[in-house]
Amino acid sequence: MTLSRRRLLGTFGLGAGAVVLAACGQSQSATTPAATSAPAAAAPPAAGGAGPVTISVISWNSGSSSEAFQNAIGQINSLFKQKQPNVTINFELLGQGATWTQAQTSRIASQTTDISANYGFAPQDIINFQPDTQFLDLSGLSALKNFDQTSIQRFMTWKGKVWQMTLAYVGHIVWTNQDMLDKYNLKSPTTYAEWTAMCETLKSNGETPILYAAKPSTALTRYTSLLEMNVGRPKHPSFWSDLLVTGKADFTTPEWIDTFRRAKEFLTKEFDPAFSGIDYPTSASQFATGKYAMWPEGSFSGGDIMAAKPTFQKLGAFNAAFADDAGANAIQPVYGDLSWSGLRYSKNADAVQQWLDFFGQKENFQTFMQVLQYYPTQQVQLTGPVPQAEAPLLTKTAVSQTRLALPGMTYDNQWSELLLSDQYTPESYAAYVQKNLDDSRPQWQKYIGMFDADWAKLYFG
Amino acid sequence: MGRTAGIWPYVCLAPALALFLLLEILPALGTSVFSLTDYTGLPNVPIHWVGLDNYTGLFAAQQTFLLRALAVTAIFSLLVTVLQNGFAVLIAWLLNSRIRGQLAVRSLIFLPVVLGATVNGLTWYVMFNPLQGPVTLLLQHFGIRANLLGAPSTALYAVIWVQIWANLGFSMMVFLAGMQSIDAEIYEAGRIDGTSPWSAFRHLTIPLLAPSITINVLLAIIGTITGFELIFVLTDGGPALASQTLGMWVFNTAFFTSVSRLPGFASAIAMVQFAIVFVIAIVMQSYLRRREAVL
Repeated sequence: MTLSRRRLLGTFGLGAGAVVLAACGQSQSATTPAATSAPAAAAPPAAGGAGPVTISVISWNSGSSSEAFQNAIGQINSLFKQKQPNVTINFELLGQGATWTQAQTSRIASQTTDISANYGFAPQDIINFQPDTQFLDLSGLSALKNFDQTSIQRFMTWKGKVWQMTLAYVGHIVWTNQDMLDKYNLKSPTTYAEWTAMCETLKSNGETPILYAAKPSTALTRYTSLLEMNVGRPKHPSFWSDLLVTGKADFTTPEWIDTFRRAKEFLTKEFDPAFSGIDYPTSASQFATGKYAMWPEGSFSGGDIMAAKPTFQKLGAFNAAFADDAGANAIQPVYGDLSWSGLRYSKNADAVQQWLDFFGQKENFQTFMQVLQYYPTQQVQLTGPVPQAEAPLLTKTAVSQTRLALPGMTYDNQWSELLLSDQYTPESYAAYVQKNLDDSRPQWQKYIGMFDADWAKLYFG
Repeated sequence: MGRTAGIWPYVCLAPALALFLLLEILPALGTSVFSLTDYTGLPNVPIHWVGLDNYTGLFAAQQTFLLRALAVTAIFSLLVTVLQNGFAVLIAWLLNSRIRGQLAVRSLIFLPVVLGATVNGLTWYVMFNPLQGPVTLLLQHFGIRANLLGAPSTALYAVIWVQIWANLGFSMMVFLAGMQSIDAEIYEAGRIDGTSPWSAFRHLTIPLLAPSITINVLLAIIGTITGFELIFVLTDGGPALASQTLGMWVFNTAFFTSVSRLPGFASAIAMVQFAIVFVIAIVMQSYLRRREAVL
């Protein structure tokens, strides 16, 4: 009897252990987006460089062009396989937004990826990822000579070394349904007065001038980036470098109040009144219906518009014109987009560098960018309606405010409380933003000093 | 068996207890520890002990956001608790009488409970779409241009409506079970004394439903203060923070953007949220239990 009870207890113990282990196993597999490739980075190094090696590459989904993205990567990988038959690239798309950031964090923390997609460096990325301690130094890659120097300085460099390969950057522009503009003999505006007059003409003909989709409100960053670049920045060009280098910023100055006022005024008069409820992921399709004349948005959406098969014939674009001065409106706000970073812990660092170098070769780069149609960081000629519309707008660029806030700066950097509600005037909103920035200072003050004037000179140009 | 008989209940409880400790208690303790650090959730970034800095930041520096999230949570919780239980008890009362098709009605009202937050949220997300959503098109017939989830003045109330719609069936079932356990003789006695149906509902049904009311009210309060799934699907806490409850704020602070991704700070908000739920649950439970005893 005693023996059987012991056995029973033992069985219970084993059972409990098994349940706990099973639960742990389930929990792990539930949070790992693609279990098949998880062990890739943990694979042993290739013996003598000739054994089989599997490299894990992860990236975010890029909206409706995800399929094209995956195909383009597949094409590059096939070519790479011909050159390096022992290396297999395991590429995965791991979602968007918060899903992506969580998946990326989990994969890097568990050391189960060799190469990760990132944005081109903004201060927040340098703080969050500490590239000089986590990423492989890519300064020696021969492919770097193909990239333009401004992009290398702005988006790939930290502490004098290159830590990631930025393939593309984003610009904020205004997409146009050129058929509709031609119908009313409207030309791209260069000043605010011209733009509002253009909108009035459209409205008097029963058209809706501007599409905007501000659900979720993070999508407002394109709009605010344009306003800040056109209206506020020319009067205070060093605003952001002052904030990042010295920690000093004043949002209550007349130029900021003017920026806020114009943002609210234009949106109230010219946007589709339902803009705050229009789902952002549907916006390219909405624009493709041809019901709207213009769409202030990222350059990256050109491919999405074309993928949605627009009902109009000709796609156009212009640089936003929120300022009275045409010169100020000619500067396009940009920030670094898709970049590849090799993880320092990778046991296959050589293969990682070989793949990145291969990717950065002009012909491979061109193949990839022709599919995605983003702004390339190499001087390559892309063809099609999207680059054709965008190319004339890229004469002057400056770093957008979109990704310049430091971790912990919990002020409303999308201006959503100004733009989506009526509780603030431009003046009271400026005071509110300033208060929130100052209140959150204990959370970000520790980063002041990390970026010096030399860095700001290189970054902002 | 003899001397060791008393051990068996504990042995049987052990696996469940182990899982509970592993999956509930340990993460909860972890959250309380993280709330005292500057944990970022980013790999290989050192974690520093910051003491009560996150809490002082929450009550001082982030006071505006805290007060707003508390106000939104209070409105959300109060309206959902009152309306959901009010409707549920009335529907249960109607369904408890012998009316035709009551099984079908009961199943239909319970259906959203089975569908879950994501499906319910997406359903109403489409219904409220400001361009082609059925609700929008319907309101257009009355000359109303609706943007229910996109306007700060209506977003929270639209979410409250969906929350009630999604959970009404569960509350109704609890009330219905309570009503069906009331002895029919009590109503019979009331009828002999000349009580009207309304009077019987008011003076017999409601007092005798006290245990069901306690359960439903407590679950609704706890669910609304801690819940965020439905709000996440419908509004993400927006527009302009109009529907950002404490739960939604925790999520947005912990995971949303690389600027606001501050899991250490989010843990402090979560601990405050826990304290609020704990106090309210204790107070409400003791009040409702006393009321049950009186009734």
